[in-house]
Amino acid sequence: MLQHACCYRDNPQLVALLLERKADPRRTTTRGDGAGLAALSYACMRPHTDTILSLLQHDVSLARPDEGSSSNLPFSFLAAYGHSETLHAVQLAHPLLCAELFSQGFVGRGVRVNWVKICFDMKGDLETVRFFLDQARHVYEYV
Amino acid sequence: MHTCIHLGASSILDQGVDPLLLGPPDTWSPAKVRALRRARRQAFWCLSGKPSHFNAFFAYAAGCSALHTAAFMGNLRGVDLIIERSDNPVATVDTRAQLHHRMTPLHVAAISGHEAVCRRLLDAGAEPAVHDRWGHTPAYWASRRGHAHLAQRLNDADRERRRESMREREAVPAPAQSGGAVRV
Repeated sequence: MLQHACCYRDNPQLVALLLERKADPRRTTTRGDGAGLAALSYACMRPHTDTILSLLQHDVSLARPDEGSSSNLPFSFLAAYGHSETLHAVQLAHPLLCAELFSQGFVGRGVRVNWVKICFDMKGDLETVRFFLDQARHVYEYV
Repeated sequence: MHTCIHLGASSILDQGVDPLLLGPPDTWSPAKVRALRRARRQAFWCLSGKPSHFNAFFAYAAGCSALHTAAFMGNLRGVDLIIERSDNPVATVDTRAQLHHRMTPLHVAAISGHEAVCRRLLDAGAEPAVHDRWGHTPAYWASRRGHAHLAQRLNDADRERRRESMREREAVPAPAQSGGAVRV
């Protein structure tokens, strides 16, 4: 239910209500091509900015990779699809989280992520590339 | 690199298949097709709207820099941006991929046939006759991928670069001999 709410509408009130009723934001889809994605990933794909902020307000660690698993970084969808405005909004609301995720090139337990490369993988949006280069150019320039 | 996006490429690489050597679809072995299908299931959203599977898998594969990816995808403005922001553009354009035969961005741009990107990389100081791990130049890869015109341009650039360096060498005056007897 929460995944559907995040995917089809940018309705933070609905998301807050579901979270209040004990909906699990870490629950992932189990069937279909998009199996393994949690609510925040679906919100990032669209992007539903208010929904993203609502989910992060509930639990900021949702943006980090799962323990013991290096896959499923929700913000990789923001990078890949070139949602620079949402990235700026998230950075404004959660500067510490963004500094942790974007300034080192390392996320979680030794997982290396080249956000600039993810940008070029898909849309190659220059504003998004600039956003990540501004965070840590020296990290993303080389392999 | 372990995002959802890259799982597709990882599974391909796990099969021991080099994305660069996938070749045209009608030549894929059943094992390759199975690996590709599995990768497609895992990375479906990345593959939609792409020019080909080959492009997509190379781009998502780990082991190459952002500039490699931008060059391979033909994102000229992205290539420009990375070069402009670099402290040392020559080192940046000559960055070697950790996988894929240690190719440079010029190699991958030549493989995908992006002439404008190749020109930009050459202008930034990329070496046109650079060799990958197997001794192949960008012109070789362009030719092998059917980009004959681009291969010709790269060969011309290489010749021009050699001519320039010859001219520079000739322009430098020979060091004066000292200590010799003066003949009258």
